[in-house]
Amino acid sequence: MSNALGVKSKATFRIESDQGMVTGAYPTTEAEADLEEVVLDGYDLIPLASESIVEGRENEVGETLLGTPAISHHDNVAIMPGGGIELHGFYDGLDQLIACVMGYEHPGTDAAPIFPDYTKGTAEKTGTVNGTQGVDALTDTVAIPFVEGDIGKFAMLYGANAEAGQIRRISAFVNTTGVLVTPNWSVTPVDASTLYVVSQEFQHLFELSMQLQDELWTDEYSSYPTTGVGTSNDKIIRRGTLGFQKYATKPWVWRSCFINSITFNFSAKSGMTISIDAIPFNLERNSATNANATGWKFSESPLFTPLENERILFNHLSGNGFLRIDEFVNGNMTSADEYGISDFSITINNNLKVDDQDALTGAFRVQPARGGNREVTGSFTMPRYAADTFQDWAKNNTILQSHIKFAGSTIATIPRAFEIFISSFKLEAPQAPIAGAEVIKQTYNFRAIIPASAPSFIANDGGNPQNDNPTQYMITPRSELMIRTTNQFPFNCFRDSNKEY
Amino acid sequence: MGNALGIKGIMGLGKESSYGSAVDVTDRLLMISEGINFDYTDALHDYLHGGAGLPGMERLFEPVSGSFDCYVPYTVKSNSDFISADLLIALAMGNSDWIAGQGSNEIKFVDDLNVFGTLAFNKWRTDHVWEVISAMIKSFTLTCSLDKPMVISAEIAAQDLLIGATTVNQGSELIALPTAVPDLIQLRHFVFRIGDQSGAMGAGDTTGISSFTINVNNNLTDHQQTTTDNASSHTEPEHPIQPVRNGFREVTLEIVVPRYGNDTFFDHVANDDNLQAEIYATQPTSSEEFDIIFPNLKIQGDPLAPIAGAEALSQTITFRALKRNADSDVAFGDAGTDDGEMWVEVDNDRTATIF
Repeated sequence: MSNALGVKSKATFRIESDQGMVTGAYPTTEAEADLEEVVLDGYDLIPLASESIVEGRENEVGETLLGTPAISHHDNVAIMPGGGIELHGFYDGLDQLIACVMGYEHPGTDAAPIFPDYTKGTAEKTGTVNGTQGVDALTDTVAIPFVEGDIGKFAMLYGANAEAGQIRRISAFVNTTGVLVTPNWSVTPVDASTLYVVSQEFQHLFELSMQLQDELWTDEYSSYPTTGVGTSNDKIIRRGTLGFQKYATKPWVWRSCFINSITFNFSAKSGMTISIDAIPFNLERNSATNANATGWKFSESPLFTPLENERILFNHLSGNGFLRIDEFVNGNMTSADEYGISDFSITINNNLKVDDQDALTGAFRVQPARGGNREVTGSFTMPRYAADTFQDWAKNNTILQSHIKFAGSTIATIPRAFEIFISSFKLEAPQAPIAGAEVIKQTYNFRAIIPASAPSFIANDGGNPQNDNPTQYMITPRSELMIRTTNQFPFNCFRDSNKEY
Repeated sequence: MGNALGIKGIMGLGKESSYGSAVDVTDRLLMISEGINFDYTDALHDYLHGGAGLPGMERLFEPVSGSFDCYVPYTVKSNSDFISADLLIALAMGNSDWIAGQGSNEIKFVDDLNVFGTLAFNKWRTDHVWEVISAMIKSFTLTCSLDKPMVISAEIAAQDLLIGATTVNQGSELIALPTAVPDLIQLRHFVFRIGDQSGAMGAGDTTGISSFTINVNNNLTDHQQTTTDNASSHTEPEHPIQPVRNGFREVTLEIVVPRYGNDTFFDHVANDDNLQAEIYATQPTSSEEFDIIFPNLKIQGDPLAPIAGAEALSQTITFRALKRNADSDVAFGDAGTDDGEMWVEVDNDRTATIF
C-alpha cells in the first residue's frame, strides 16, 4: 500500500443530497450521513493547496475519586469536525463552494431559467425540439442545427412544460438533426413543445441568502419553478460532500459540510488564493458511495479547456479585467473609477453556530445555523499615496461600491471571468503611515452593508451581454455582495441538475 | 576571578531522606541547560505616606522553582557514584525496585509522591555551588527524535536554594563526580510497538516512528506558605511546605509517524480501542536497556494526517495513558506488572536499587 504524498492528493466538493431535494435532510446519525453522501466525480474537483480538517473529537477524562491518582477513564463526548482548506483561485472548480457559502443562485422560471445563463456566448443554439424524441436524444428536424463539434456541450430544456429544468451533456453526434445525451432524460422532450438551449459557456450569479439551513425552495423564492422537474417540496441545500484523496484507494469523505467562511486574497505577482472554514458533520474513510477518487475531474466534457483549468491571476485585473471603486450614488462605473491597488482581501463570514449537540445527534452536532450577523469585510493596499480620494471617503463615511473583474482567456467565444460585486461598503481604519525611508502606502479596511437600492455597477453592453450589470434577485433584503462566474460549469448549484452520476 | 562560563557547568543529583535537609549528590546529570531561580515574593510598602516614593519592601516568601534539561544516558557506575538520568526519573515517578534476577531496576509511579532530592551545580565559582534543597519533580518530559539523543526536561519545586560556602556540596565534589563518556540513548536504539489489548506484543505491532514525546504531570500543589508546624517539622516559614499531589496524574504520549500508509490509528480512534505500547531501547554494543511500557492507552483527540502541501503526509497521534486494566498484556521483564499508567525498566551498570 503506497504512502500518502501531498503531490498525489486531490479534493472534491459536491452539493448534497443523494436522497434528492425532497427527501434530503441534515443527518443526525452516521447512517443518515451515509444516505446524504453524494457521489464525487467528474465535475467536482476543487483546486486544493492544503487542508487541515480534523474530526474534532473531544474526550472527557474521568476524575472520579477511586483511591488512585492514575486516571482510569477517557471517554469520547463529542465529535465536531471542522478545519481549514486552502485553495488556489481557478475559473472552474469553485462554483459549488461559493454557492454554499453565499446561499443563493436564482433559478428563474421554467419558461425563463436565469442561472446558469446559457446565452452569454455567441455560439449557443436555441430552439424547439422537433421530430421523434428519444430518452437519450435531442432532436430538431426543423432547425437542423447540430454539428460534430457539439459533442461535449450541454443542453438545457426549458419552457412551461414538465421537461423543463433538465441539463444533459451531449455525448455523440448522430446527424445534423440530432445528438445523443448522457445520461438519459428523466422526462423525455416533447415534439414541437420543449424548448432547448445548447452551450459550452455559462454564467452564474451567486447572492447572499437569509438562511443557510435546509429549507423549502419556495420559502426562499416563492416563484420557484415547479412546472418542470422541480417540485414544491424541493429543498435548497447549502451543504455538500467533501472528499480528499490521501493515501489509500478510498478517499477521506466529509459529509454534509457547511462552509462557514471564505476569504479571497489576491496580491500583485501572484494568483488568487482562497481560505475556507469548513464544518462537516462527520468523516467516513471507508465509504461505500465513494470507493475511489479515480474519476475526480473539473469536467466530463471533452471540450473543457484547458484540461488543467486556468488560474485566476492578479494581472487578470488588467486588459478585460479591472478593479473599480466609486460612490454608490454615482451609479455605473467606468474606467475612470479604476484604481491601482496592489493587495486585496475580502471575507464572507456566516458566523454559524456550530457547537450545539442534542439527544438526537449524540456526539455529533446539530445542523449549523446562523448564530450572528453575516459579516462581509476586507482590506486593500494602494502602493502609492498621491491623492486623498480614499482618505476623504473614509473621513466622510461615504457609501461606496466596487466591481472587481478578473478576465481570463476565451472559452469558446467569450472570456472566462470571475467577478466580485460589493453593493455598498464603507471604509474603516484608513492608514498612510511614514514607516521609514520607503514609499508611503495606503491601507484600508472596509465593511460591506446592505445597499439602499438596486446597485448599478456597469452600463449594459449590448454587444457583450456577459458584461451586463447583474440583476439582484434577493431583494428583501438585498445582498451586500454578489459573485459572478463565467466558466464551463453547466449546472445550477441548487437544483440537483447534474444527473450524470 | 573568572566569569561564569556555561562550559564549566556541572550538575549533580542526590536523593534526600528528610525534607529540607540537603545531601551529597551521587549522580552526575548530563545537563544541557537550567533555569532554576529564587521565586521570591516581596511586600511593598505601598501605603499612603504623604509622598510619591516607595519607602520600603520586605521579603514575604522564598520558594524556588525552575526547570532543566539533560540528556538521558545508559547509566554508568563509578565506585558509588553514577552518570545517569534514572535517579531523576525515579524521583519523578516515586519508586524503584531492584530485580536481582533481571539485573534491572523497575521504576514505577506511587500514589503519594514523597521523594525529593538535592540538585547541585557549578555556575561561576567552584566554591560557590548553587544547591537546590528538596527539589520535587512537578512534571517531566522525555523526548526523542531523529536529530538528537533522548532528552529529559524536568520542572521542579524546591524548598530552598543556597549559594556559597555553606552548601553541603562543594565545587570540588562536583568536579569529582564520574567523568566517563556514557552512551546516550538514541532514537535508533528503540523498537516501538503498539497495538490493541488482544495478546502479547509481537513483531506485527512494530511501528516506525520518527519521534516520541512523553509528558508526565504530577499535579503537585503550588508553593504554599504556612507558619511553623511541629508535626511536620516545618521550622522555616519563609520557605514553602512540602508539595503534595493536588490532582490526578496526567501522562501522555505523542508520536510522529513520518508516513501515512495505513489507517491503523484512525481505526483505533474510531473504535475507541484501548491500546498498549512498549518502547524498548537497547544499546547495540553493551545491550544495556531502557524500556518504557504503557499498559493502557487511548488516543486523545484526533490523529492528524493533514494535506499540508506537496510534501509527504505524516501522522501525529497523541495518547493518554490510563491506569492498567485487566485486558492489558504487557509486563516487566520478570513478568510482573504494576497498576500505574507508565512503567520504566532500566538495565545498566547499576547493581542495586536506585534508592
